[in-house]
Amino acid sequence: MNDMNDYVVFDHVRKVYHVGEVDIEALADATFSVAKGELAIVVGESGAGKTTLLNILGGMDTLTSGKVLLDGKEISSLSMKELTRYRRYDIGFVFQFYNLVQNLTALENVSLATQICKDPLDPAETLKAVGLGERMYNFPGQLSGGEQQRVAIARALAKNPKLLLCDEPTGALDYNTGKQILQLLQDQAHNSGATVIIITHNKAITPMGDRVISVRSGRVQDVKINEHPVPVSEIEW
Amino acid sequence: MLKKSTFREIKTSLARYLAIFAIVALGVGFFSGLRDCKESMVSTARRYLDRTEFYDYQILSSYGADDDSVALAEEWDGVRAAEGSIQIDVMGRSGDGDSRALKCISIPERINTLSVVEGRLPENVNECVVDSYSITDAGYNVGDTIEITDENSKDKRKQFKVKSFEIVGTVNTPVYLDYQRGSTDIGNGRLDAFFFVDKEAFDVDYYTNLYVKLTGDEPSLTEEHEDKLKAREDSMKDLAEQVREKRRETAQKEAQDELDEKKQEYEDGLAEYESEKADAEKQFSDAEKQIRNAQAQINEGRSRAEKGIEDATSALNDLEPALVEVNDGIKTLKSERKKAESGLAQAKEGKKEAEEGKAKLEDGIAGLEQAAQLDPDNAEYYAGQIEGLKTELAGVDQKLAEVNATIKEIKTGIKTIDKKLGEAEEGKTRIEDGIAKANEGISAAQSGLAELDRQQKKLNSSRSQLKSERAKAEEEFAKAKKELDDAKEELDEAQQKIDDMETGNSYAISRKENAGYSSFDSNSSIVSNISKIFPLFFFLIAALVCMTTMTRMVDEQRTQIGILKALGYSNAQIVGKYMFYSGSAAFLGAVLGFFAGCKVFPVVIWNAYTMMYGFSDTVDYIINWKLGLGVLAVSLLCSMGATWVSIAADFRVPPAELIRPKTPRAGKRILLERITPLWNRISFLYKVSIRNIFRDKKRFLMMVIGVSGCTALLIAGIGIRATISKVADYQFDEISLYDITVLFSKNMNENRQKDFLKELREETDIPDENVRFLHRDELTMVMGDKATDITCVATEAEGFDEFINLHNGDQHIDYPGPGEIVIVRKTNHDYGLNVGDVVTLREDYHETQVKVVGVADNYVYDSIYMSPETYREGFGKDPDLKAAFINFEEGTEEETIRNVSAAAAGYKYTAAAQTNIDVRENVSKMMKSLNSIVYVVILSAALLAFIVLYNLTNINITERIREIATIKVLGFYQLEVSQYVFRENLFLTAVAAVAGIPMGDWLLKFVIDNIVLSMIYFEPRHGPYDIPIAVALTFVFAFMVNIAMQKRLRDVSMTESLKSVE
Repeated sequence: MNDMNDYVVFDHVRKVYHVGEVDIEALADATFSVAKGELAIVVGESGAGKTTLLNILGGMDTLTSGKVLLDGKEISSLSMKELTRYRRYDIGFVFQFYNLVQNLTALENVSLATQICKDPLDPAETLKAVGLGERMYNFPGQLSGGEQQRVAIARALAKNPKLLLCDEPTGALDYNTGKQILQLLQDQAHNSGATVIIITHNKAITPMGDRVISVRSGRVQDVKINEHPVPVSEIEW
Repeated sequence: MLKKSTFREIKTSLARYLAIFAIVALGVGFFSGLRDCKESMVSTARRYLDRTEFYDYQILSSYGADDDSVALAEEWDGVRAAEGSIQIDVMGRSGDGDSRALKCISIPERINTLSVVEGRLPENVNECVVDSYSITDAGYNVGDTIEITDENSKDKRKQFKVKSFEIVGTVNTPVYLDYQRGSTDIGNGRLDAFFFVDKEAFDVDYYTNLYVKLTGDEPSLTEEHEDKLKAREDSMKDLAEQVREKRRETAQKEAQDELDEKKQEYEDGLAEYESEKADAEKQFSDAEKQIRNAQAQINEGRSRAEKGIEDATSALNDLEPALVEVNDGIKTLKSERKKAESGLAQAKEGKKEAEEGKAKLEDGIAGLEQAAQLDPDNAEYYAGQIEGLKTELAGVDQKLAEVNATIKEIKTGIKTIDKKLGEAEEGKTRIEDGIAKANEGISAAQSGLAELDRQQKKLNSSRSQLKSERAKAEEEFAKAKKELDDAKEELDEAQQKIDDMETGNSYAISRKENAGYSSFDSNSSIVSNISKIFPLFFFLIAALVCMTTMTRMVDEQRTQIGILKALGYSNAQIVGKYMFYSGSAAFLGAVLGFFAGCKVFPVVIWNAYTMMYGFSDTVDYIINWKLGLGVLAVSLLCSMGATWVSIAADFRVPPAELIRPKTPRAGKRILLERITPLWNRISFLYKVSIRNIFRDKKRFLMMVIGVSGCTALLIAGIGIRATISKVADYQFDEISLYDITVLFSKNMNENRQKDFLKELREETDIPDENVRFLHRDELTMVMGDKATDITCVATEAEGFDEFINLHNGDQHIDYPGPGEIVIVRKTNHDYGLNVGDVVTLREDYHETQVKVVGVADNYVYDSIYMSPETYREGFGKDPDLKAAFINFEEGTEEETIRNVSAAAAGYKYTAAAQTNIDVRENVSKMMKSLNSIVYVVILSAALLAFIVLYNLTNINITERIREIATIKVLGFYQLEVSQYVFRENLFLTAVAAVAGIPMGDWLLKFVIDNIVLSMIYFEPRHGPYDIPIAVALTFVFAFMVNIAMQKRLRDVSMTESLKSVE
């Protein structure tokens, strides 16, 4: 059964890292869900466990116990290879530091992702959609931080993923550029129907999300649903 | 604080620290290890040679040597010691094994001393020690007995007092440093092994070899020692000549004495023969005389007997009629007597009648008278009757008287008859006696004759016996005479020989001509030449790797450097930290590498060479301090220099900029992209790779240099092997087509050629044209200011192709005409002599100028070729034919060739015969042991490729860890990730491999050119698959590195992608 509200489900997820003889509980008990087409914001202080949450949701890490579902498919039980396929087909990832391949043009960086997808969007179109139609033949080094992040977003979007995961997408950007990026992401969710999860420590941007999940000490402290998310342009921080 | 940070740095980046350490250790190890090899080998051999007092010169003369020669040598200026040695090649057998050609040598005491490998040295003449190298090959073991077999000639067997030796040990001798045992004139021409026995076991009073040690303590295998050998050469030649001269005198005297003895023997024999012959003659003539006498006696006896018979017979003839006469007489007498008797009886009758008539008358008277008286009356009547009676009485009386007279007469008659009869009887008896006597005489004579017949018979048989005996004796005497004559002829010949006794030859042969010694010399220089360039390559790569690693490290630590600088640390302090880091790693690596390399490599190479050289199991551990300090300095310079260069770049920018992350190098279009049609066809996964490759030029270069170096090493290594190991094949399959070389001690004129061929044909049928008698001798060739001794072959051009195929590559070279010579490639290579050059040839005191018209391919030995006319005109004499090549049809069995070689060696004027099979085997074997070096090279090339690829891939991964993590997050499968990274590697490997081909070619040429051997010329050659194999191997190594790096890639954590850029 696929409840639209339960597009992404974290069910009592626990993650323990073994560092030497010490067990570090990165996630103690995280439970939340995100609906399809929502822009969810996971917010928390450094060390709250939000990166672990991201890693698990992004198929980059396994969990110790609990369950994670995306679009009704259980991710928590996937093998490494299945996780790769999951990342390949279902997840679009936007990094804090863009992680563009310096040696490839903007277009090529997008193509790098679409090359391996089943049903990708057209890279050039996607770049145009993120406002980089003019610069698609530029190398990352020739682009500003915001432009690079747009390329990164375009790369994630062009995969046509089920879920767009963004890790501090504005962390390396200046205020205005950051806002533009956030706007782009909000537009993706609200206008294009993409499910977007933004992970950030910046509480100020939470009003823009449809759903705000606060994480603290490895637990989901609070899940707040904004019936009326604020447009990014109205947010100040 | 900084110090602490440095040590922590080492601890945290131990892998990198170890990488520098390892590459330096390897580089230094290879470099110094291989460099050290020759010295280690040479030192090992040197110790052995000096310890065993390996000879400096060997003095040989046609007359051998003796104790006087030894004394002469010892007194000679510049000679420290001399020792004679008896060496005789014999066929020996152990148990019921095959018999082997062995060299039996007297146990040396001072020079070329033996080292016992197993068992002990002989303690008496019945014991021996054998060749430790060939003992198993020859099938002997300690405890076995070597018998000098009967197949040895009688003369050879005579040279041994003891003919069976118990093996009590195995030994090494420096004279046979390697496996080569040389050739011989017995068996199949190849010596199998040697064995040593006490000098007393020989029954000879001369030495075959005289060994000399020179004064001076220059160690063996040094240039000083070689100089010394060269400097004393003339002196040694003089010594050899003197030894020969003295020995010749002695030998001549000995030979003369011996000959005189033989002559005396001959004379004695002759005298004996003659006296015996005379005796025999006398005996025979005596016997004949006796026979003659006997015959005469017999004849006399016979004639006497025959005369007796004749006389007797004639007497009988006389006697028998006499007997008949006598008998007739007797008969007559008897009948007369009978008549007389009957007359007497008549007479007596008459007398009786008369007396009776008288008596009756008287009675009638007396009766008448009485009657008268009584009748006187008729007295007258009476009276007248008386008267008438009386008258009648008177008549009767008368008658009576008459009868009586008759009787008396008769009786006298009878008496006469009887007398006569008696006489006749007597005569008869006499006759009868005579007859009996005559008969007796006849029968006696007849029995005498029979006896004589018997004697005659006996005499006849003894006569014929005598005759046959005489004939026999005469035959024997004739034989003896012939023997004596033969002996005389021989003696005359021997005398002639002694009278003509040649000066003979004498040689002073330096140790450099000892096969084992010179092969060791060659082999160690090959090792040294090969190890000259290869390790350098290695060392360079090590420096390169070290440099990139340090550059990378400094790059990574850029921020930290900025911070330290910002904190106020001086440049020197900061540099110090990194210098210490790289310097200490390089130092430790260099030290370990040096000592380990010097220890390990010589051992590895030596182990390969023990196949050839059995004299030492261990190789000397030589520490060349100069080399050590050199490599240490260079290692430090490279590692620390690289560090300095990297850091210096950082110092030029302000700390603030250092703290900020280094701007990633901008992406750039590469040339290839301008070729749009091509570029558009490339999937951009490849585009990434291609861009990456060309973006980082430094890495590109390093990779290409490193990997192409590896390919080049492989090509060179395999090429060396192909070049070296095939040298014999090339030579004997393509050039020297003949199978046997024979050297003669005399010019082979037509008669000798015929004799020689006849001997060969006893083995197998060889056509005339398969045996080429030719001139082959050393002469001096002068090229400008350089001169060399070279073998000159002078022969007719026709058919020579069948023996030696002169060609240059694919091009056939015509046999040189008058005034021309063909040289071989080694001469061309060593002296730069080329076609068209004119050289001077010097033989004795003649010089001639000739033109080089061809350079022929040749690998083993070197020589020049010319026509007999060139020789004749150039040197004013006919070329002597003192050599022959024998060629066999393709596919002739080895055994046949060997047998012919042995037969050739057995010819009386043969000095040496050698099959190319043996030469080939020797060369091949020598070359085979070089394989070990090739394997070391290949192994090091592999290791090198591995290190370079690993290091660069590692750096590549480290540098791009973020990119890799990102594409992993993007959902690239493991294989795709690998391809994404390794595609570059393989591409670079391909580029490098291609670049490595000409490099390898060059390297091979360089190495081969540097291997200068006296006997062999190497021409760099690739086997058909060498280059593909080398390239393939390079790829194999690249793949291996990729496989090894897979794990590293797998372990790249995707969370790296989330980290901030440093």
